Amino acid sequence: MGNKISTFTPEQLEAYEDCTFFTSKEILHIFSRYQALAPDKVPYDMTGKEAQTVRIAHDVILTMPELKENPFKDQICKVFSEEGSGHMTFEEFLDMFSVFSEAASRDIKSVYAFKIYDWDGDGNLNRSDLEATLLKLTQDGLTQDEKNFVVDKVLEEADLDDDGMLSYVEFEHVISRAPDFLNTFHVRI
Amino acid sequence: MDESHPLLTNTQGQGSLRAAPSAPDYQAFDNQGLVLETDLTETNTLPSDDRDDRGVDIGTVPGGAQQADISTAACEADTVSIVTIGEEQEKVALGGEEILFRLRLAHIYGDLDWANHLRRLNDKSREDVHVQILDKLREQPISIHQKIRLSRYLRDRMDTTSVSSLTSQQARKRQKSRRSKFKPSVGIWNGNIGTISAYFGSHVASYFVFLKFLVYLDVLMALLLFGLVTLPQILSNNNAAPEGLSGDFGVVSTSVIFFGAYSDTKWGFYDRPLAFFLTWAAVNVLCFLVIVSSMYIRYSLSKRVETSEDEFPFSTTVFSSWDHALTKPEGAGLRTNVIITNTKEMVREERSPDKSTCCQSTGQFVIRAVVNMLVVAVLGGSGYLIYLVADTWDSSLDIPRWLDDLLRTYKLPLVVAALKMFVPLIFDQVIRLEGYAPRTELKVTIARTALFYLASLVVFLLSMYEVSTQCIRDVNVTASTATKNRAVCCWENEVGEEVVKVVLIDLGQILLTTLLFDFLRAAVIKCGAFTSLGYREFTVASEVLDVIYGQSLVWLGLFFSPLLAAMGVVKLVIVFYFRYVTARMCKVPPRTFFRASRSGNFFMFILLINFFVCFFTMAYAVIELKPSTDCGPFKAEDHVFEILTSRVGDLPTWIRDVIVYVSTPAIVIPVILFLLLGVLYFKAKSASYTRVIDKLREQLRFERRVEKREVFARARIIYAGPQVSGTGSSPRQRQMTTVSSRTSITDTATTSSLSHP
Repeated sequence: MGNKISTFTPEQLEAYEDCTFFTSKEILHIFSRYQALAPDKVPYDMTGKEAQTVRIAHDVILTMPELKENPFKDQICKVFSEEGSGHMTFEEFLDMFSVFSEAASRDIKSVYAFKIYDWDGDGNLNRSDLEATLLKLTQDGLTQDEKNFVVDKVLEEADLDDDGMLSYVEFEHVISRAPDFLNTFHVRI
Repeated sequence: MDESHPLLTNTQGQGSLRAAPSAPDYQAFDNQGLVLETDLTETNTLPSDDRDDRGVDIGTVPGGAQQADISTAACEADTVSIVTIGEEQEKVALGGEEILFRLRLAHIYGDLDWANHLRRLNDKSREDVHVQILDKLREQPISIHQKIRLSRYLRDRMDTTSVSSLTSQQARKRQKSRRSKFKPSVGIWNGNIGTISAYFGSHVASYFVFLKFLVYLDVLMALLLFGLVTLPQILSNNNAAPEGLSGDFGVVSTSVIFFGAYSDTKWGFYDRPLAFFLTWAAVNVLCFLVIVSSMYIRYSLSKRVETSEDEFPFSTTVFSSWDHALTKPEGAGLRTNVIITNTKEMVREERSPDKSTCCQSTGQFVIRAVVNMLVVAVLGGSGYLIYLVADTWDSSLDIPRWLDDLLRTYKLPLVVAALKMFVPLIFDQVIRLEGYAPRTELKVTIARTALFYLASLVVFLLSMYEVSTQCIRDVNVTASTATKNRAVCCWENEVGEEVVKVVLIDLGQILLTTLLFDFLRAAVIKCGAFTSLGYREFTVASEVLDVIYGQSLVWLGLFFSPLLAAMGVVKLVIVFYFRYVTARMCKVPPRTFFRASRSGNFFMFILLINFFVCFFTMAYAVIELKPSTDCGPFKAEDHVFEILTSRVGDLPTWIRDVIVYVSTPAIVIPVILFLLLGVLYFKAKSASYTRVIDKLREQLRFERRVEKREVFARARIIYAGPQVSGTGSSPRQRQMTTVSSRTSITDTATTSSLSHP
């Protein structure tokens, strides 16, 4: 880097490398994408506390091409941001793409997938959560009857303790047997 | 009941294993980690050794009830108390594994008081544990803020040596994983294939991957043949083509492209005819080995994925069918449609098995019988047509002479190409009448198209046989009379020329079909007219069969035209770019698809069958047919393989005796019987293995459903137990119950982690 102003201190980069699945080069690339979203708000120099304080608004982040067509984009932003507001600091932004990267482990992907599908945030996937997920997936394609049928079948397959909800353990049990999960839960940036 | 608990930030225990806080438990730390804000009703603040050496508050979870009445905490909080057991019974520090385990479950059970645990480590294991945790830090599902603070905490306390060794280890691991991931995609066209898979999915991309494989194969064949056969011929600079040899390509007919130009003499020490034969045989064997080994590798890789494919069809559809990598609105819309269609199909299949009335089913049966007869008729008719055209051509039409000549020369290739253009289309349309399920539809169409291509190949071969025998007859017959019908007979050249013609026309046909059917249609749609006419789908199966057909032609003609492999390479490259551009601009992904892993091997299998057909035909030609006496490297022999025996004849007599003895029926028949027995034995063995696998799968399914439900039910009873039985239970009993709940949790947790591939 020949710049006089470096964006992050070496300690920051070290910490980011420890906490995400990215290399320094990728982190800087992601920073350039972050900054391009709101060039007037995000400074070049993030060596202070900007990485935790500067937040980009929720609707600006959703204009990113990687997220724009995603039916779960609102929920994704909510899960990765603090207090569920959807406004993300750079660190949260980085965390989001780290979980969605190719190198991320299956465990962490399934944890965040669970959080994304948990619309009411109660730590369980109940009927309404499943219905909401299905609605986002299929838009208007299925009749209410078919939707109920699918949700019933999902609960039948996955709910092992018969409480009408899926806990993380049950969810993880199902998702670890989904052959495509690692491929589909992947965003390239 | 608002028990503050080391593991929980919000106590909302619901009496189940999955007590999770109802609100996201990210705490508001400021940048230096000074302020701890929680929203617990009871805040038992920790003793003031909270601040570490630098006077910075380390992140802790408030309400650590370490010295509080643990037994009450254990049972009255209807929550899991893993930590309390550990803390009470062992004041020893937790190991690195244990800390990582709890971190991993932190999103269920609340944030972990990692600072506390880390502080309690033994001095000698401290460094190792720090390294261990830092290594796996990125995989923990805690918030990024916590992670960064933990990373800073650890790094501050680690030696520089261990830090540097850790970073270098991680860098190496990362490089290795990246390198291994990229290995299959080393080579040409990676970017293009990547784009295709982004837009169309991995199924369509498998077609292009298959093309790439064939290109590599052809390049290998071309290099071998060129280096060992053509180059010596060119370098030796004597064109052995007899005078008076005329072909359809003019000057090119007598060049090294075709068989006739190869001489039958040695060049210095290099025995050219022997080289020709052996290289050709070696190239074929090499192809066989490459295809079989590729099939084997793919099969052994796919076995891992295939074990539990449709265990949870609905759950996997709901949870993992959305492809988050899709960024284009068209791609997203299409994916949604595919998901909708698949889901509808699954619901339909699940709900109602085939209930069709009696009339409907007989009607369908009649239709299917009729269609099958039609298919057979089409196949027979096209075969006969090819044969007929190869034999005779009677142009009583009033066309200009040049056109007549052109048609006469290219009659066979044109007929073959025309058939190839229309018959698969007919099959595509006709299958819709039969009303099969989409998957069966696909399979039946593929089977029919493959049969058609095979049939056209076979008929083509038969007509070539006619050509060769006719040529020999011509020369023999006229040798006795004064006039000669033909100056020289070089039937291999003729066959080679026919093959080259077919290959060229095939390429032209592919380009023409694509232009007509795809480009034109896309142009029409884009101009706004007929917008209801959708884009054509990218039908992977028929494209692949097309390519396999082209490759079979190359294999067929390789003996007669050594540079055909190079031509094959050029053709495949052109086809690749053409199809790529067409796919990007004019096509949509297919509605139904094979699972990609299976289809890769299926196409290899068809390729292998085609290879065998071509190889055995050529082997027959080599063994039975008499090479032409006027041209080529084998004109001195009666049979082509005699080139080998005449050289092998130089070997000592005992080897010759052994070879002669081995090829007698006395040895061959027992060997064949023995091989058959071996095949039967392995088949029986594999059948028994399959039975065992099925039984084990049954058992697994049983375990998952019934056993786990029992365990959960039991756990529920246990939790409900202390409340039901009152708080008067002895500490020992309570501890025992919590221990058992702990084991059941760790059981489920470990089984779920063990089940990861």
